[in-house]
Amino acid sequence: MKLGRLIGGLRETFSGERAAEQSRGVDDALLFRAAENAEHAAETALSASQAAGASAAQQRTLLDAAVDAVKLLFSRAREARTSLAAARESLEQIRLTALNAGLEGARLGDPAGKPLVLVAEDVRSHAGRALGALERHGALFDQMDKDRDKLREQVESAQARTADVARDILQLQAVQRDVSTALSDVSARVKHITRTDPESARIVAEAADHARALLDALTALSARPQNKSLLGSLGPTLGPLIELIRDQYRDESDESP
Amino acid sequence: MGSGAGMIVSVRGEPRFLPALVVHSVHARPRLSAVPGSPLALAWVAGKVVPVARLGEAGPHLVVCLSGGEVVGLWGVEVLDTGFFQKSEHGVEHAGQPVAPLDVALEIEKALEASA
Repeated sequence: MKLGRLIGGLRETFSGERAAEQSRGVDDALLFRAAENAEHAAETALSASQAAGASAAQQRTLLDAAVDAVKLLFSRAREARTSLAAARESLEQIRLTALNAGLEGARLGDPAGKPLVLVAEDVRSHAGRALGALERHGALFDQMDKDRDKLREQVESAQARTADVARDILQLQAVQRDVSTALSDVSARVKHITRTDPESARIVAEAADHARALLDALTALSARPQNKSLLGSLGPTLGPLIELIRDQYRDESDESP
Repeated sequence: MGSGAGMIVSVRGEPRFLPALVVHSVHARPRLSAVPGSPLALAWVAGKVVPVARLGEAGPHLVVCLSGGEVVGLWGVEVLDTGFFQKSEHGVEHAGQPVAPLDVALEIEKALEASA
C-alpha cells in the first residue's frame, strides 16, 4: 500500500497534476541545469575549435617546410644538371679527340698507325658508353622534373586548402565565442529569473532525475504480477522515503488554507 | 684489295668515306658567321679562320678538309668512324656495307649551287 501511494505521488508530481507552483521549482532547477550544460558545451566546442586551429597552424608550418624542401629539390636538380652537362661536354671532347687520334693513326698508315687507331677506337667506345649512360641519366632527370612539378602542385594545393581550413576555423571560433557569450547571458538571466542558487538547483535537478528513474523502475516492477513480492521487499528501503514524502504532503496540506 | 685509311662520315643520312690524306681534323660544331653575298660561312677553328660549306641540315661535327689546295670546313656531317677500312670496288666497306667516297670538291660545288 505504501509503495502504491509512493508511485501515485511520484506520478502526480511528474504528470503535472499537482499545483503548478509546486513543480515550478523542479522546472527552474532543470532549466538552470540545461543552461549550464549548454554553456559548458559551448566552451568545450570553443576549446575544440581552438585546438583544431592550432593543428591547422601546425599543418601549415609543415606544408611550408614541404614547399621549401621541394624548392631545394629543384635547386639541387639544377646543380646536378649543370654537372651532367659538364660531364657530357667533356665526354664529347674525349670522343672528338679519339676521332682525331684515329685519323692520325690512319694517316700514319698500317702497321705504324694501327696501335693508335685501336686505342682511339677503345677510347671512343668507352666515351660512347658513358655518353649513353649520361643520356639515360638525363631522361631520369626529365622524369624527376615532371614528378617534382606534380609534387609541387599537390603541395601547393594542400597549402591552399589548409589556409582555407584555417580561415574557416577562425570564423567558427568567432561564432562559438558569440554563442558562448550569448549562453552566459542566458545562464545569468535564468539564474536571475529563477532566483535559484546553483548548488540548490543542481541538487533539485539531481533529485528530480533520481525520482523519475525510481518511478520508471517501480512502474516496471509493478506491471509484472510475479514481481509483486519483489516490490514488497523494497518496503524497508523505500519506507523512509515514503515517510519523507508523506510529511512533505502533510506540511503542504497544513499550510494550505 | 688493301685497306683504305680515313673516316666514315654521315652526310644527309648516307655514310661516305673520306680518305685520311684529305681530312685535316674533326671539331665540334663551332659558331658560324655568315658572309654577306656568299653561301659560305666562316668559323674560328684552332686559331684560324676557316670557310665552311654546309652539306646537310644537322650534324654534330665540323670536318676540316683540304680541297684544291685550300682548307675548307664541312658542316652538317657526323663522323661515324676513323681508322682502316677494307677497300671495295666502289670505295670501302664499313659494318659490312659498301661506302662510296665523298667528293669534297663536288660537295662544295653543290653547296654553292644550292644557295645560289
